[in-house]
Order: sequence, then structure tokens, then C-alpha cells
Amino acid sequence: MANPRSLVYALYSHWAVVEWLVQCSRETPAFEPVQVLALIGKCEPALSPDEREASLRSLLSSGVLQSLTGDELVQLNPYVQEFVRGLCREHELGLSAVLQARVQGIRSATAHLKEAIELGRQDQLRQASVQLLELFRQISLQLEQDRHAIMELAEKTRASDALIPAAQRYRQVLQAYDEYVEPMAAMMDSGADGSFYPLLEDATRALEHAQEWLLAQGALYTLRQQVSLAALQARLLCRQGREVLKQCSDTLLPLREEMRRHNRLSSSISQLLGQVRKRGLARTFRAGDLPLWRAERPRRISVGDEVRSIMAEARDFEPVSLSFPDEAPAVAAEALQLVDGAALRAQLKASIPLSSLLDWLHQQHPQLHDATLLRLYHELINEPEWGFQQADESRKTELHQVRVIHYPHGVFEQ
Amino acid sequence: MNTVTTLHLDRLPSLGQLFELFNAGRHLNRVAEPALWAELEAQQEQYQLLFARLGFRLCIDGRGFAWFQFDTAGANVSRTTRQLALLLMLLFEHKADDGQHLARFTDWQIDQKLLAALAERGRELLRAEGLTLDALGDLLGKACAQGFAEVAGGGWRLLPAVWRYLDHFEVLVEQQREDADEQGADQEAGSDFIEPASNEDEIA
Repeated sequence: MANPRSLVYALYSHWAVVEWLVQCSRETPAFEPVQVLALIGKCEPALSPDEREASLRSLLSSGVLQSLTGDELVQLNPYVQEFVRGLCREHELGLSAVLQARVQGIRSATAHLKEAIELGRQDQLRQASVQLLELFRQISLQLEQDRHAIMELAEKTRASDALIPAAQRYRQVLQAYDEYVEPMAAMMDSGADGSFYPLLEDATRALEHAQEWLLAQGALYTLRQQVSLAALQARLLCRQGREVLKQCSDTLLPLREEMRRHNRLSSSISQLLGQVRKRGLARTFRAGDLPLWRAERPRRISVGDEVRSIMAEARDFEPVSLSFPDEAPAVAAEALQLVDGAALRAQLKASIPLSSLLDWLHQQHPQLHDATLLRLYHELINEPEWGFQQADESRKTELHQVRVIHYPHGVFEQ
Repeated sequence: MNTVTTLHLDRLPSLGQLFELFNAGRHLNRVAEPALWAELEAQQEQYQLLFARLGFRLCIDGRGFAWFQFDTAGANVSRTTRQLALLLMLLFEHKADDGQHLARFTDWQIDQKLLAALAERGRELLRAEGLTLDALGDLLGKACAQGFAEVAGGGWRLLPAVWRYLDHFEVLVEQQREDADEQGADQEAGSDFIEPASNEDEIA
């Protein structure tokens, strides 16, 4: 049996090592002395090898570490392990069955309390109230430890490497939900199946009745205080149970839903791929089955003509009416006159030199309309085979309908 | 009674930028463009109202992406979206077989090695769509243009907007399941009418 004072002192002296050992004990329940020495070296690198050996001997002799019989391995003292885990919030998730057993224990303790009141036995009443207090304390501690264990579970699941298979990562979450949260929820159900609240309420009523009985009978102050404390703890435990259950559900439920969503999505994708293999992509996904987007189109927002009428109304604008002239009858187009271009050019060649091409054309071909004559004139003056000399003074030439003021083009042989 | 709603345009400094983004068919992702997302989130109602008045439906998903909903599209877009759906299904099936959690697709790094594995895995399906290994890279480029992915670390990374495809996959399968159940129920109801006819024949 280890000396408690020396155990606690060793814990104080080698806290860092013990904390590491407690964390490692989750994966490795027993250690080789070499492993412990390496851990001591890691936590206190300044120590020499002899000093590390001395630390190990100190941990063994104080009872913090225990040698396994028939083996060289050492393990942590279970009390030390439990104590350090409690302080460092490194608990394992407790069994819901243990919680249920403790809750059921309230039933027998309450029965003892009621019997004590009926029989008028204050000593029995004191024992029953101590028993109830101890049960409330244990249940409260377990609820708190389990809450932290579940939160750590969720944090590890979320933070774990994405390369780890999802089934492996979420296995503990699903297990915790199925084996802890659901039984706990059933136990704390407010319906006929729930036992937590009815038992606590029964205990609370019995304790309050005991308080009134002690007041009427007269009893020691310490006894009355103890019973009063137990009644208060019962009420607090009701609230704590509700809060812990809600927090555990809120922590684990999203992760469970994530896993379910993963499974549902995975099976949907496999099913659709199977359809694509059989029917083709276009037949599997019809128009509108998938996200669509529109190719970029430049858009302009402009004001419509309606705003003009709004502006006119705003400014009391009255448009001025104008009468447009009547439509004049269409002028009949003159018939095109055919001109023998070759004969005309031969005649011109025979007539050069000339002082005015326009006058010659009008004299030689008086039958030509003014438009035709002017067209021929402009054609001829642009032909390169003729030489032209434009006069310095203008002349007026009277055609049939128009009078042309021009600088005559004289024609000479090129 | 018509309620008059005031639009405070001075509170929408990124209006032009957001409209240009959404009108181009792109998705806005919180992780890719946090500043724009913060602006949109801060004045979500105003933006939705304004765009609705202009004839657009702005959809904002709580998982961190937003887009303009279009119910019709051209032939090119329809083909691209189907091909992208095929690529995503092959990718997600590959990752599911690896045991990876599908909801964490934004953590995946898609590189040429992975694309080659997908090309091998879905060789027949991709060949039917005329998609080669190079075409898969181009397809991811188009996905980046529309805000479904981004270039990262020499490869690509999917963005939360991909949830639109995943939601569509689940809805489609669910609809097919419901249709199959209805058909099954109809067939059972139809078979009840057969028996009286056979009884009449027997009586005759």
C-alpha cells in the first residue's frame, strides 16, 4: 500500500512525466522501463542518465508506477490514472450502463429514506441522505466527465487527417452516439420509459418531506443541513442531466448526420453512374437536372421613351403642331435615250479642233434631252484619248430646259 | 396594399462587381472571395431585392456560395454542365472508394495524376463523351471560370459551389425512387382489376 503523502509528493515532483504517461496509457496500458526513461528524458532533458534512473525508482517506490508481477513492465497506479485524467479532462467515455445503475441506486436510497421517516429513525435517515448525496456526486461527476470525453471525441474526428478513411474516423462517433447518447436520452426521456427524472423527483420529494419531519421532530442542525444539501443536489442534478444530454447530442448529431450524408451521397453517385453507363449521359441528365449558367452577355440598361412623356407632364410641355405640305405628284421619269457612242466619237474626231464641246454637242444633236447631253459631255471630257483645253472665261449655253454656265472645254487631237 | 421598399444604393458599393460576376454565370464563393462575400452577406436583402427588380434571381446558400439562377441555357452550356457532372461523379466515386469523406471535397487536391486515374477509371464513359485526359483539364478550367473550382498548388481545388451538383444528384435519385414507388403502387392497383375479369370468364 503506497504512502499517500509520498505518492502525492512524487506526483507533484514528476507531474510532467505522469501527465504524458496518462495520455500514452490510452494506447499503451503498460510500459517498459526503457520507455519511461525515454519519456523522463523528453520531459526533463537536463537530467543525466543516472538522474533519470533515480526518477524512475522514485516513481516506483512512491506507488505512482506499479510493477506488473512476473514481468518487467510497469503500469500507472489506477488511482493516479483516474485522478490525473479527471484533472486533465482526459476521460474515456463512461458506460451508460454504469450511469443507469447509479440512477437506479437512487431508488433504493430513497426507499431507505422513506422507511426511516415512517419508523422515526434519524440515524437511518442520516445514512440514507449520505447515500443519496454520494450517488448524486458520482452521477454529476460522471456526467461532467462524459461530456468532456464526447467533446474531445468530436474534436478529434473533425481535426483528424482527411486521408484517414471516413468510416474509421467516424466509427467512434457513431459508436458513442449509439451506445451512450441514445441510452442516455432514453433514460432521461420525460415519457414512460424515462427513469432519471421520476427517480430524482421522488428523491427530492422524499428529502423535502424529511426536512419538514426533522423540523417538526427536532433534530441536530448538521442533520437538517445534510438533508437540505441532498435536496438541493437533486434539483441541480436534474438541470445538469438535461444540459449534458443536450450538449452531447448537439456535439455528436451533426457528425452523425455528416456520416449519413456521406453514405447517402455516395450511394446516389454510384446509382447515377450506373445509369450513365447503361443509358448515356444525355439520357440520364435531362435539361434542368443540373446547374445551368448563361454565357456572358453585355447588358445595357437605358431609359425608355416613356420617360419623355413623364418629363413632358412634369414641365407642362405642349407640343406645337406643324402642318406638313401635301404630297406632290411624282414626276414621270424621262425615257432613256439611246446614243450610238461609236458614231458620236467618230463625228467628234472628224470635227476637232473645237472651242466648246458642250455647244457642239447641243448643235449637232439637238434631239438629245438636256440630261442625256450633259451625261455625254461628262463622259467625253473624262476620256483620255481626247485633248482638252478649258477656257479662262465662262460662257452661258442655253439647252432645252436649263441654262448652263460653264468654262467651255475645247477639244483638240491628242 | 403595396409596400414601398427603399433601396439604398449607397450601401451597395460592390454592386457593379457583383452584377458582372453573377451575370457572367459565375458563382461567388466565400472561401475564394471573402471580401465580396462579406459585402453581399452584409446587405443580402438589398441585393436580392434589387436584382429581383431587374429580373434576376439571386440565390444564396448558407454553405458559402451564391449565384444567379438560370432555368435555361444554350446547347454548349448544357453539354459542359453534363460533362462536369460526369467528371465530378467519377471523382467522388474514386474518393469514396478510398474511404475519404465526401463532404470534405474542398480539401482535395486535384492534380494530373488524379485526373489520369479518373481517366482510366471512367475510360468508356469519358470516351463516349469525347473527353480525353487533356479535355478533363480544359473542363476543370471551365469549372474555374464558373466558380466551381480554383487553381491551387499546381492543380485544382473544388469550391463549395460544387454542392449544387451534389444536391442535384441526391434530389434526382430521390425523385427516381419516388417514381419507382409510385409505379410499383400503380402496378399493384392495376393487378386487382385483372382478377374480377378472370372471375367473369369463369362464370361465363
